[in-house]
Amino acid sequence: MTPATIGLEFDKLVGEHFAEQHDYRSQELNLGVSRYKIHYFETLVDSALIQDYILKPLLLRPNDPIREVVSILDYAETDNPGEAVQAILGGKTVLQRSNGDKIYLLGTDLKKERSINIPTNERVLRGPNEAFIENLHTNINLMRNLIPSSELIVKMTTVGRISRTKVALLYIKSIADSTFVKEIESRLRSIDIDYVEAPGFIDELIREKKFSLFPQQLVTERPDRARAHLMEGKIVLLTSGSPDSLILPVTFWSFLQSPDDYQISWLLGTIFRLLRLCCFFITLGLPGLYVSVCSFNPQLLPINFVNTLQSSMKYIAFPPLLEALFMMLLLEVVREATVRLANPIGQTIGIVGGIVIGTVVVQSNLVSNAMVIIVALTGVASFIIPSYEMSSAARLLSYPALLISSLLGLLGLAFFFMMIVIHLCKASTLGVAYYAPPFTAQAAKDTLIRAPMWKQRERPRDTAPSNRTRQRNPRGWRR
Amino acid sequence: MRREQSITARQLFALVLMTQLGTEVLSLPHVESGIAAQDSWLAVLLSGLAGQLGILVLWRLGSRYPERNYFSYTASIVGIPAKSLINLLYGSYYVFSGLLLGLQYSDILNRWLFIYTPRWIILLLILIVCGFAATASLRQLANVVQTFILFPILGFLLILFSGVYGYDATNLLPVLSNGWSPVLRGAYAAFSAYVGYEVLLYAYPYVDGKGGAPRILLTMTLANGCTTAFYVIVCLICSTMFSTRQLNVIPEPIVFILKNYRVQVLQSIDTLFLIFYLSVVTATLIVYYFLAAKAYMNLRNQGLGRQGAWVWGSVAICFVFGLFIRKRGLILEIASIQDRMSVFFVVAVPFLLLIVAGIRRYGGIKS
Repeated sequence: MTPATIGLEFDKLVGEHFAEQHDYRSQELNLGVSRYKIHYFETLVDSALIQDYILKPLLLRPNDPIREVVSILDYAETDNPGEAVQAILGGKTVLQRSNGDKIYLLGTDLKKERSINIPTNERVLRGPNEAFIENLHTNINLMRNLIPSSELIVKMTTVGRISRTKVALLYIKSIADSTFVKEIESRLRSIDIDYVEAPGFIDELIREKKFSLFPQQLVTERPDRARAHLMEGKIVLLTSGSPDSLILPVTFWSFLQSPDDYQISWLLGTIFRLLRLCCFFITLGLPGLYVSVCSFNPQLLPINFVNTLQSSMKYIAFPPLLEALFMMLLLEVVREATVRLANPIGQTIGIVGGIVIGTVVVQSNLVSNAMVIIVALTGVASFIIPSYEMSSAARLLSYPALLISSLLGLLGLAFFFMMIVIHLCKASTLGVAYYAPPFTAQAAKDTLIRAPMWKQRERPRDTAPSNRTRQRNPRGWRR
Repeated sequence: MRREQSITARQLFALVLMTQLGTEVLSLPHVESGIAAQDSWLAVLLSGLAGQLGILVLWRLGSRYPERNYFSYTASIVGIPAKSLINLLYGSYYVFSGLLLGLQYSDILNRWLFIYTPRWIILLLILIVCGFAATASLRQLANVVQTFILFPILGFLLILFSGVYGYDATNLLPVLSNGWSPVLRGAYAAFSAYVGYEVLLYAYPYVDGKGGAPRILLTMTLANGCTTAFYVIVCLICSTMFSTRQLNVIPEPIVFILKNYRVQVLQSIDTLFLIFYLSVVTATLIVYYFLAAKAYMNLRNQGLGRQGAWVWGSVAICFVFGLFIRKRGLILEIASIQDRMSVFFVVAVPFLLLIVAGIRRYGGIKS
């Protein structure tokens, strides 16, 4: 294309795309011997930058090459009018010189972002208090600060035909399995969608098993958590516009690990890890267990305890199943209400839902005392699981457990748990088994228990197959 | 066909142990006491040793063809048509055994725990769980089974602790009062309790390379040893708790013992044990249906059908037959047929194949 046709083509494209846009600006300037034209969206650019670093220098040295005149770091040239149009939409100022054969793309975008806050959804007692924000560059900056090494690779792609959401793929070059990286890159490339509600859509579009309640990707807003997983050879996806990052491939156990575990003594860490596992089982099975023991196998319990239960259930009209369903539904409603409501009112809901309904429901003999205890324990236990996705999955799975055990008693509950185990064993992400029994010394180290740091000498085999040495001699001071 | 992923030696151990354990633990002391009386533990022990011989045969056969599984290498021993026949028979044997085991356990649950629940519902649920699991790959299967292994351990501890009180060691005396012949007959009767190590036939080529053939043999021996120990201890506990005459009328003495024993917070341990034991039974069934599907898939050299289709087909057939077989006597009859079949399929056929393979090799025919 000759210089003249590029200019014409560009003008035509700009007219086509931006004629109806009220916040689009283009100005012609006659400076020196040449005519300049600049294009930008006034809502996207920082006008002070244009004034100080583009217009002012141009006025002083209108005839010199643009590269030497403008003092803007984010500088690019192109002879592709389509790219220039896209750049204008991305917040750049596009500069054209008459009879020039290049279009200049100058980064003057206005940066509007909130400051880095403390994590709101993944609180810890010990550990760093930084959370990702909506700006992709800031998030990558956080990660690069945490891993100041050339091994940290950041690859950018855009997803979404209209939204053109930027997605950054992070991994550690020497640790991560390159087949995973390739696979995820190809999956990201193959996404053909108009816009992306990141990272939820991406999670759904690249996951393997379509129908599973269990989360297959770990969502986190904590850079330190993302780093810990990167160092195990996993891949982190950051998306612009979202403070959540996706980590994959993860196993079932990742959802029971909390960043706290690694900040406190390993014994405490292990105990808390086991507590979380117990709570996972309580959430899944306690309502079902209660109902099946009440209505099928009361012979399991000591007679005195059965009498106590009996006395609390004496005036209740409904079968235990309905009681349990009612209370669990109530719990879900209260939970959802507290999430949706504004902060100051949220606490009121806690009082109304928890205390008022809980107490009155028992006093009016709609639900037995024991059932309130059971459901409350289930609810609280579910909130101990550190991943919101996993805790919701566990809570939702307690409904089928309840139904089948109200039909078949303990037998039904046993079948339910077997199905869960089989389902977990059959699931895999990127060929990494989602769940493997942790009954070997090697497998238990960071799953069932939190082994002391000096014992965790090797990275997990699944995600870091080639480069497995984590520590050489972590306690060199010991003779 | 998909290439199987490898499994570790530990996983092989779990697979073998869980497949060996079946409903027999519950009924073994009763059956044995009818034959070998107070020497039943000796019969069971002997039977375990015999099982070890069987393992040696299977291991020797497997180590000849470390690249392929049993259902495909038989072709190079006896030719393709015979291989197809053998696979067909094996598949049917496993489906048949699956049916029997499902019936037996749903019958036990029906008698001891869920008297009012229709038996076909219990059977249906067991079969659905098994079908769901048996469509997985060998490694996934091993993971499932390895997770379930917690429950026989718990069950074993329950049995062990319930045997603390009330035993009478004099019940074991006199040893060998009728000579060896009842003991040997008892060992034969206990043989089917040990069946399950034939998993090795299929799994051999997929066990992790580290340590090679000797390690596989060691793992198998360990698994068989654990099963033997489990059975012998169960028999000892039952024989010391009950007299021979009592044992002859109690079909599942273990449940009876557990029913009698209670701790502060749990009144009926037998319920817990029977529920725990469900995982053992399903693990065995899962392996059976898996092996059946694999045998059928190898009917043709290039593979035949999909694993899922074979598994669900076998499960459906078992369920339909299960609906018709309702009398306990009939189940016992089927069990005795299955006992003879398992001797044939687990010991006789592999042994013959091993001999044929040996002859062909020394005869200079390309094997």
